[in-house]
Amino acid sequence: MINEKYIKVLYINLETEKIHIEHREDLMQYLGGVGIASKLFLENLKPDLPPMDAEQPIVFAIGAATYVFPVITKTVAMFISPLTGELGESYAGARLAMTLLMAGYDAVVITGKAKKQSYLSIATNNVSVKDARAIWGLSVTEVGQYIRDRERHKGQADGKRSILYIGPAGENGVSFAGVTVDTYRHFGRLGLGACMGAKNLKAISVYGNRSIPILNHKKYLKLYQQLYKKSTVTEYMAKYHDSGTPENIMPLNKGGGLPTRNMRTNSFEEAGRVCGESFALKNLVRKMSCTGCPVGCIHIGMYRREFDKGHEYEAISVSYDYELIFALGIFLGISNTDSIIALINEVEEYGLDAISTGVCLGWATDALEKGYITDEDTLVNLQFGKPEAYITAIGNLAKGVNAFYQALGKGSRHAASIYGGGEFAMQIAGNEMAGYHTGYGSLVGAAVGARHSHLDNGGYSLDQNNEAFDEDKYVDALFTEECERCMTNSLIMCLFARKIYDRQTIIDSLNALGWTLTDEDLTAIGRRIYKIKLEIKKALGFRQMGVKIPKRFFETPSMNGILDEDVVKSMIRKYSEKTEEFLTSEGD
Amino acid sequence: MIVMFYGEVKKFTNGDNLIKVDALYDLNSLIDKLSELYSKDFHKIVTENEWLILINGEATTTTGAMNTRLKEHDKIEILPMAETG
Ligand code: SF4
Repeated sequence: MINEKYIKVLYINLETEKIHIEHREDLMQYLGGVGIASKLFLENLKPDLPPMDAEQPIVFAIGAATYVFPVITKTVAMFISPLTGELGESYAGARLAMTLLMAGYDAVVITGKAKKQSYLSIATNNVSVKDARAIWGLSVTEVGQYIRDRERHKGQADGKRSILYIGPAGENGVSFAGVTVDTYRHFGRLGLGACMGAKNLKAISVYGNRSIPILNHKKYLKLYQQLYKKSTVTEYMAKYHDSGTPENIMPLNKGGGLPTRNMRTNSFEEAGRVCGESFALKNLVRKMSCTGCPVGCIHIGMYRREFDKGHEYEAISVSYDYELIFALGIFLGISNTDSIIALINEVEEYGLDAISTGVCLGWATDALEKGYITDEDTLVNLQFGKPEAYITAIGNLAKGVNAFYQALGKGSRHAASIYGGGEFAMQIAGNEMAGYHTGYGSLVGAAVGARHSHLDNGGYSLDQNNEAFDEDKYVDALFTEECERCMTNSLIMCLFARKIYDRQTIIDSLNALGWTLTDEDLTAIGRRIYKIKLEIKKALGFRQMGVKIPKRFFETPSMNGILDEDVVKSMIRKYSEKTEEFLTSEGD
Repeated sequence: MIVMFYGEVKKFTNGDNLIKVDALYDLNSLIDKLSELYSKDFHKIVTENEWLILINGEATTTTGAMNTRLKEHDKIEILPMAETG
């Protein structure tokens, strides 16, 4: 907690509706964010019970420098992923971190299952479980409106409230259902939405009205101004504001690292039609920011949808970025920006993770074409490049309309285990791939990463640097970066800001808030947190050596050519040995 | 030899999209040449901005990185690296 020597944890048991607060001095060694979330998660985890059991915890945490410095905007969520069966970790921006800080809580631990369908209202000194039966079954937009109308606090400005909610996919237990935060941000990956649904929890509203005194104001102000300047007038963040992450499409396509049509190929002949420039020219209507960020990288795109005959139109607007365009566009062979926005909108309304949805539908299209499944399973004729059928399929998936969609709703690995076609189910350790087939760094990085995400250790960056590939160097770099990101995610800064916050800047920022830390301390904190994450994974039965990578990863050339399966196996083995040694080592 | 610049990279080349240069020995000497042409330390810029360099469409990580031998008709493409957060 800023200015204090403890971490303030709010515990909520939905079943008993018992709520209590603890001031935990012992958690200070984990700094905040993912550090305290990991520790609290491990303490409350029930490894012997199924992932969706009511006893399993969901933990939210903010960081040691949340909101008080620019671009430090994220909240972390930890849970057991119903998709992978092990560590679930996801980050979201918007207003949530700021409101938790203003409400006075560093972390929230939620256990139990509410007796009836409910939502949580969290405010300073006031937490309650409220009836949500009237909104169960509603789409994400509808539930957002409902909670906004009802959760009004005396003297409240809207900017001081944040709302998280799930859609029908989360209620129906789709393993990759996400959670929407304040309309345009998400805890997207690994199925937090299904975990909330399993707890009968439709939404969480957080309101905070404290103000936080800055003790060393002079030092703080000087540093804040420098960081603000770095975020706004230098080149560091300019590209995120300009075209945003869709800028990635061009280098990935040119370099041959853009997974296209269920990764049958590594480049898309129509990439130019769906790149950042095309979206900007055709659909971009505004840019937004998470609270506490002067950058504004959230790109809102709009298209006009005809909802009835007789010139009846409505404006559909969604936030878009590279991953969404990849998964719901390029991966499905769709090259029309309006259609991609329509698909994003569908995924949004049902509350699904866009990446897993797109990748699962890519597998289904291939499986249908190859005869593993039939039209009777898919109910629509899925074909690459044809958006209408995908729109219907998304609804079928969220609702689990038949046995096939119920299986697909548990992820592509699960569906392929029933219907076949595992060699082209593009997942790694159960998590559907992100849009980078760049080389050994991205593939091994996802296999060994704590949450099997490209963001765990930035393997895709290694593949694009200009140094020759070296197996051992890559393994070391992935390990070091994983620890580093554990440390930065304890602040919790937006990953886009990693060039602004170098080690010295982090030390100075924390120093202005009363911490006295050295470079060595930061290294130790990162390693300490990673160790806990590895312990969680071990408790949940995960073994790096057990990861089986689908054949297509070795058939379709990556940005660095065809990948050799033996090299990947050898790298995973080396990484596994490294982590085993690390786990048994003394201290941090 | 043709050297092409894309996206953000053009901010460092005074807006140039493409230049033709005489064959150079390797990528290191190409970066020297760019530093000379644009009066900037391109070695530092390439590292700091984590640019992606392609030789005839291939990433340099597999072609032997900065010591890669270049040929007269090679097409070099310099792009901003794909990044996310
Ligand atoms: S850079 Fe974008 S995602 Fe990151 S904090 Fe700012 S607005 Fe949010």
